[in-house]
Amino acid sequence: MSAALLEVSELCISAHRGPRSVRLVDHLSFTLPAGEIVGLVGESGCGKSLTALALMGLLPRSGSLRCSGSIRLGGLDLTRCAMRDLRHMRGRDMAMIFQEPATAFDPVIRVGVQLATVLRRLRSLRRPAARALTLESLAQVGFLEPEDVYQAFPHQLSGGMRQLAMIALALACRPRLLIADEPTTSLDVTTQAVVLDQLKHLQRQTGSAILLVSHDLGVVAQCCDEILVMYCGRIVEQARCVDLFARPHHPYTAGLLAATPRIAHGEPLPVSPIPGQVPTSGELPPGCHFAARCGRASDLCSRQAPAEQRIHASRVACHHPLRDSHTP
Amino acid sequence: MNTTGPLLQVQHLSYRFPAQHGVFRGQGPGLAAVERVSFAIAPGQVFGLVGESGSGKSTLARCLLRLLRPQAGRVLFAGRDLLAAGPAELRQARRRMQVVFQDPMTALSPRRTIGQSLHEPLQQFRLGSPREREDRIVAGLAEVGLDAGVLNRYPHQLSSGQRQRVCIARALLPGPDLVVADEAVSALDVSVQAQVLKLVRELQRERGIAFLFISHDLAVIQQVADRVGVMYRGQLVETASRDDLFRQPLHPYTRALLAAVPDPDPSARRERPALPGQLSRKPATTGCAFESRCEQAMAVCRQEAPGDHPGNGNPQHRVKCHAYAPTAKPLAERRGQTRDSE
Ligand SMILES: Nc1ncnc2c1ncn2[C@@H]1O[C@H](COP(=O)(O)OP(=O)(O)O)[C@@H](O)[C@H]1O
Ligand code: SF4
Ligand SMILES: [Mg+2]
Repeated sequence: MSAALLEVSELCISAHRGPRSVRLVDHLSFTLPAGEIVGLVGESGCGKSLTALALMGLLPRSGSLRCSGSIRLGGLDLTRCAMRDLRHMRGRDMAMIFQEPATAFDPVIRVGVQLATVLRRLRSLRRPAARALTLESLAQVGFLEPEDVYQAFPHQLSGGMRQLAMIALALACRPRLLIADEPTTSLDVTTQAVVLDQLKHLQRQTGSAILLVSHDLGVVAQCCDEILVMYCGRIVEQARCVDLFARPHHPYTAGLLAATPRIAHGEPLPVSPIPGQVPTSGELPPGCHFAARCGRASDLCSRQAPAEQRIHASRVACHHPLRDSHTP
Repeated sequence: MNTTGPLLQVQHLSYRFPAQHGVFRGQGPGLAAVERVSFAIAPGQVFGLVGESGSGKSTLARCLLRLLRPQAGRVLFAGRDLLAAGPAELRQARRRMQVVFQDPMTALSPRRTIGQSLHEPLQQFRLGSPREREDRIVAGLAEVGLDAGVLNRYPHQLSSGQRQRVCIARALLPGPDLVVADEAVSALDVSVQAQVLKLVRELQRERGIAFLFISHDLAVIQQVADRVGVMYRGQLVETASRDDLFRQPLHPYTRALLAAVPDPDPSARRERPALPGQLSRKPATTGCAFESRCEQAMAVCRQEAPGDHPGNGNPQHRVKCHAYAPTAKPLAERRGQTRDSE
């Protein structure tokens, strides 16, 4: 593993509703090495997007959300940076791709013009050079008619085409850190395959670190080097991608794998649901948040939050982790 | 009820949206959202309908429920033509053909308790006395794994999985023979999605309820369906038993779709060539709807729309592709071989 580009330490995000405060992201610590794709997975509402926004410095600093801990990008603590410094870094040092790329575009300006404008600002390019670089990047992500896409208005492109245009921009900007939050969730699978291919290609070309946020285990299995599994605001397991799928140590990870349908070439492979529901953030039980749904839970689990332990190269937060190499 | 024939039979159904709406304004005589679709569902069978967004799945479902008026074709439900049915007959059919949508939040009224929402269909179809209704509702909730405690709650007080169970319970209360489920598990997290898929299989096995189960997710379809239909641009391009379809997908589009699903197994990573054509704004040709993206396209594909051919000589496996025309043997054989040698 190469040196850490991003170091997140004890990141907490809480929402204050009247006198009550609800912990949404709970003491998150992890590092992101340069040149890797790291997946952040978990079911809806577990805090993935909040984490992503916090890393980009996009959480509102006033209002009901409180954020603590540190986020270091190349040694600089982003939580202590002024807003205008963060704005300066966005695009250059770090960039983000959202689930719905339509919101990232101004509907009345041609797509190519918008991309070229960003490039002129970030890379201090003159107009013709920015235009040429935009066209080149559009061609690189696979558009057969880059000029046509350049001239199109955002609504004239499909969701997948807009997402690829965003990737083309990232390719031209070469941020050190790219955060992609559910970048293919609103796309069809055939388009998703194209977008994921281009994301991997981008990573290889630029050496950027990518944090790929997804609820889809298939997506992260196909793309990532390392995986972080979140449940109710906490990282419950961190492992190399191959290890996580072959030998999940946390009962929640194992449960997720067993519940995810996989295509078989013949009769279907069985899936088993995880009993119960994800608790809502206002009603988190003490101890391990997964205890009520966990087949391995003991009294200890509902009393005391499990500390993190190492098993081989993985980090697991569980009192009774699965240790042997076994299939869930 | 006609017990020997199919429960639902759809014949050459076509629906076009009027041209003046939406982004297709001014482009010819309207957009064909459903084009000459034919299939049948046997009593107690789960028919899985899969396709990408905009392929016409929901429009088809809305035609079957007569929420839209198709311009051509027939829909026979238990032998009766629904499109010709009068109000009384339609009412009767609606009781026996219920629907569950993707988003239970919009399907349930936010200001009504779950109990009130569950009373609705029983009142609507005048089923049971008020006392019996109460019992039926409690039994109906138990069937989907919920207890009577939810009766006095409001939709926002339940989890998404519980809400979708309530919608299924409501669809089951009138005693339907067929449930149309349009992306009913798509908004659910996987751990809960697996619970609902299990429930669908149980209802089919234990109560003999047939489903038209619509999803964009092939892995989900494989879990629940007995037969599968694949839609592409308004057409049913391949129909087969589940095991035939997953063991030997024949239509080039079905194969592309299967290859694109990301497998949750990093040791099975494929550097697959992505399906071309997605990145062009060029309109389709007059021939096969898939021609511009198809790697195996022949000259005839650009000129003529393919007919419905039996795949591998199996009359239950239908493929809308020129490669399976009786006259196109060489290509079909060559492809059969490459699959075997994989
Ligand atoms: N009200 C409408 N007017 C015009 N076109 C429509 C309308 N509703 C849907 N469409 C178009 O019809 C096609 C089929 O849509 P739909 O049935 O919603 O597909 P799916 O359920 O597979 O997502 C799409 O191309 C869609 O854009
Ligand atoms: S700590 Fe206990 S309840 Fe939590 S996952 Fe581990 S065994 Fe299960
Ligand atoms: Mg739909």
